[in-house]
Amino acid sequence: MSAPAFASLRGLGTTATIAVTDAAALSEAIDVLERWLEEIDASCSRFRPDSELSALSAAAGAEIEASETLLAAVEAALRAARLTDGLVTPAVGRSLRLAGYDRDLASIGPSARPARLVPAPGWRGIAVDRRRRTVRVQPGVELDLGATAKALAADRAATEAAETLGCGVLVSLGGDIRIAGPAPLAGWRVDVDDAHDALTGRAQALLLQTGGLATSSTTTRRWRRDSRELHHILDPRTGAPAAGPWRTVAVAAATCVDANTASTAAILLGERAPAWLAERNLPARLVRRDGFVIPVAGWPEEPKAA
Amino acid sequence: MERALSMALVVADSRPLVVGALGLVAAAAGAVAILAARGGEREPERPPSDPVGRDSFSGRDTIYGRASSSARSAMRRRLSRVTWLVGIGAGAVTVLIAALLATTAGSTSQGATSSPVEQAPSEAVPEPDELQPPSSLPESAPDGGSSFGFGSGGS
Repeated sequence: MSAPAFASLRGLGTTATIAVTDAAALSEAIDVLERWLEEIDASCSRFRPDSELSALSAAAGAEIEASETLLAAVEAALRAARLTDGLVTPAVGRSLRLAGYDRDLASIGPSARPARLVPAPGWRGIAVDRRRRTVRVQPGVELDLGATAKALAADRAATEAAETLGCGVLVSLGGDIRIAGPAPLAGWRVDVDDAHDALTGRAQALLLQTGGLATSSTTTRRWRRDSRELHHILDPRTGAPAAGPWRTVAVAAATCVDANTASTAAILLGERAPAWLAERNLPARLVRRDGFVIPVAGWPEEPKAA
Repeated sequence: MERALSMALVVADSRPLVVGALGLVAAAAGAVAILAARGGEREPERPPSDPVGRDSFSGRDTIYGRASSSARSAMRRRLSRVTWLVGIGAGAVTVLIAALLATTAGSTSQGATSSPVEQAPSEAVPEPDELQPPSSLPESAPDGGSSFGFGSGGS
């Protein structure tokens, strides 16, 4: 087996990286990753007029036939909603659109138009019929699968590449990480920080052997409306950006979908987050607005400053 | 879990066989019914010592006895024809229904495996009802270790 190798590309509006423990397998691993990025984008993008999700939004309450990928993505999003009492909900699409996140983030410029902050409707108006392979959304409900669909893509790409290529694989989609197959001897080294592509120098370096790791932060994916600065983690109860005590929350879990669900929920749970994560044995790193770090449920302590 | 799932898939895939087997059993039952009806159609054999025919009820050699026996034979023939028709009809309908059911089950099964993307069974594998912790905890990396620079940060 040769040395590990990795490659990065753009996908789902972020940086996608795939690393393999066998450099000879890198080319095929990239193919697997590209296929999953396209698959998830074609099914779940809110900004592509030809996506299945756009067709579902235009269906005005009618049932539509869905691909296996969309079915899986909606099911993952509904499970996230159920396990977080609706905090991490796919029904937040309209709230995001009215707040100004109505196109790919890179193309959102400053606007003088004030943001409209509206609560998200209930997620129980979204129904998947697995037997008939259909999805139906109540009129007025707009879906946003962003949180869980990207994590799902990381899960699917990593596990498929590891199974078909027979080596260890790490997939990172904008910092949503999934590890599958045998890890390198010491583990995969990952730096955890506020932003995956702009490490601040305050990052904590970890070694991971398996599972998923996701980090949610209010410091990234921001835009300006009128004089107000907003970010992408909206509280579905109010439609306003989360304003709790946490700047960044990173969570390790069995899968990237579970890690992402928990890290997003923790930002919205506020002070209750550490206990909520500990009850579920989910190792996590919570960073307060002032930079103070709280490790939970077995997350390693920060190294002491020299 | 995986074993239970694969068992469920085996059961689901064998539906056409099960339905086909049921159809065969039903068809065989119909055939037995037809043979039984055919057996009822046969004239009772006359003993060689009774060439003219004996009234089986009175035992007397009478014209009336002969006429009565002939009427009963005619009735038996009519009844046996009806039984034949009912037997053949029931058998045909049973085979037809079995064939239709087998076709439907077969096409459902094929639908679930028609393309690489749609290889998942029609029932999704149920996800755990709790968020699942990792099987091993993250560990601190030693200072100065080699790093690919993977960052997990908000995106």
